Amino acid sequence: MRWFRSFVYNLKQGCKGIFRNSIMSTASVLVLLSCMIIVGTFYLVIANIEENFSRVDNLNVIEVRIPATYSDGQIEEIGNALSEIYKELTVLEGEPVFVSKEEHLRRFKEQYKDQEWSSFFDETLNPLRHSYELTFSSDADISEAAKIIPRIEAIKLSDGNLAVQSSDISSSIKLYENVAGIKKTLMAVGLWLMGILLIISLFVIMNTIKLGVFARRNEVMFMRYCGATKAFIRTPFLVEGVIIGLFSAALALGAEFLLYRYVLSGVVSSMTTAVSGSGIILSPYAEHLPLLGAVFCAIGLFAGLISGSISLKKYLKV
Amino acid sequence: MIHFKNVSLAYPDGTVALKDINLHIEDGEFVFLVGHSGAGKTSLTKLLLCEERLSAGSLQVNGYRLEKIRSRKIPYLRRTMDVVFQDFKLFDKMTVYENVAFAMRVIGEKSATIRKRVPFFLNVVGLTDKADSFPDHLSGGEQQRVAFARALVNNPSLIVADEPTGNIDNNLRDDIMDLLLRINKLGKTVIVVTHDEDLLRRYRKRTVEIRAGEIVSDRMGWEPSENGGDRV
Ligand SMILES: Nc1ncnc2c1ncn2[C@@H]1O[C@H](COP(=O)(O)OP(=O)(O)OP(=O)(O)O)[C@@H](O)[C@H]1O
Ligand SMILES: [Mg+2]
Repeated sequence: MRWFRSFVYNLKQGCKGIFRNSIMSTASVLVLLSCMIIVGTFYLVIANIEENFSRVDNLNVIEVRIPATYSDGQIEEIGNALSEIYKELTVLEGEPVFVSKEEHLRRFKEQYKDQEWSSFFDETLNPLRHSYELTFSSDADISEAAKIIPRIEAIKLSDGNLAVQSSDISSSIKLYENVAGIKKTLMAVGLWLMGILLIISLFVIMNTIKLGVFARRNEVMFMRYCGATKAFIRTPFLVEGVIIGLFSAALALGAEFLLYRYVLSGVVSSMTTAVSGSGIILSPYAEHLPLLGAVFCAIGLFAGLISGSISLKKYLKV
Repeated sequence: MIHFKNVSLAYPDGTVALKDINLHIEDGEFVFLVGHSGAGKTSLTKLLLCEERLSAGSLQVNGYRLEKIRSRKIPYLRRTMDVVFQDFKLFDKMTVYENVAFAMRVIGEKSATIRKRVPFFLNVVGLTDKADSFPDHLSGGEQQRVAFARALVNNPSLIVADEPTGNIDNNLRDDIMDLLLRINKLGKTVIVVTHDEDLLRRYRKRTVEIRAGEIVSDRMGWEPSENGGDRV
């Protein structure tokens, strides 16, 4: 019961503190709120890029097209060399798979079966080439996967000539790298903004609590002389900081929802029509709610407690 | 019990407020502490509260050794005494009752205890019918009495009153002194800081005089002394 009584007391005092200085409290909440929204928005954008990207098929397949002039023996030589590479590099999921030009034609006609011109191609008029397909694991480090390419380029036939040219190799590694670069940039910008705003909010909350301490100076002095413990005197101020932090977190979750629902989805749908058929799908907000909630609360608690403690250390003699 | 042994106090800026103080006060005594402005009376009070830490010597207060007390223990030392400072302030947004109750709340007393003790001590200082008034509707003397009720309510064994008669008129002075003597009769040690010579003449009590941070006399009653006076 005793802890409950002091819990209620501290909560009450903390709330009182917030309303005593409502302008500064509002300022604290606003800065903290913008910090959280920045973090949340960058996170949501990155998460959606990642999800949409992983939805695209065959991104982790490297295709090695074989020049049309090669004999069956030479084709087999290439296959053996690729097999060697598979045995050496752990990023590859399996043995190279040979795909004949007939199979390629079948796939091609399947893909464009609605188009009239697709029937124009057949076994006698097949511009496609045989190929080998190498698959690396889709969660592999892309810089590891990129190492496969030069190995393929280095394959030599028994006559001493290079087997394939770089134009014969088709892979999505560049795309992977670009997307990874975008994610990295977004992450860096997001973290910087978060850092700056977090520091600003620390200062604003520190000032809020400092003013609270000054406003209650007489009370604090009296409490000390009565023999109130350090914890008793300080806790309400810390609670004030924590309430500001958690309240901002709750607001941020709501604001982020609106932003996601109306702004981000609007941007995406306009992009989808511009790049027709690219089909970007936003994941539901609820899916991100637990993580966002935890992160916002953590930021709020951190800012409230840290700035509260610094402020008390500096301005409240106990 | 209060026991000063060769106690000195120097403030961080170098001002030596108290020099080589030796003083013993038994439980239940009534002592006047006198001296000119700046003599070091408030400084001595702050030493008792452990608001300032002594620079040299040893000081025992109500069973605590202040030269080596841990800061964690200071609140508990302070619960054994109560100081009414010369610039005491009541909280003007709280009623008289709440002002007194606040002193109990801050050391975590139960509501039931608070409801019992506050009316009792308002009665002791004769302010039962002002319980719901706000401080700015009270006279200076009444405010002073609220401050004493607030000091008494946690049942300290030592009460220090810094200039209790400083800013009130002569009629009220006797009321306050009357109250302090009654508090003393309850078995509490009372130290009254003053430079009101009239008061000292009227109430013959043990009187300790400080001058420039040193005790220059300690005797029953009061005689104004020129150039120092003799040590006891
Ligand atoms: N915090 C402080 N820092 C430095 N010097 C101080 C401080 N407080 C008091 N002093 C100095 O210590 C000396 C004693 O001051 P103190 O307040 O104890 O006097 P006092 O006897 O209570 O005077 P008064 O009757 O005017 O209240 C004075 O010279 C004063 O200027
Ligand atoms: Mg003084």
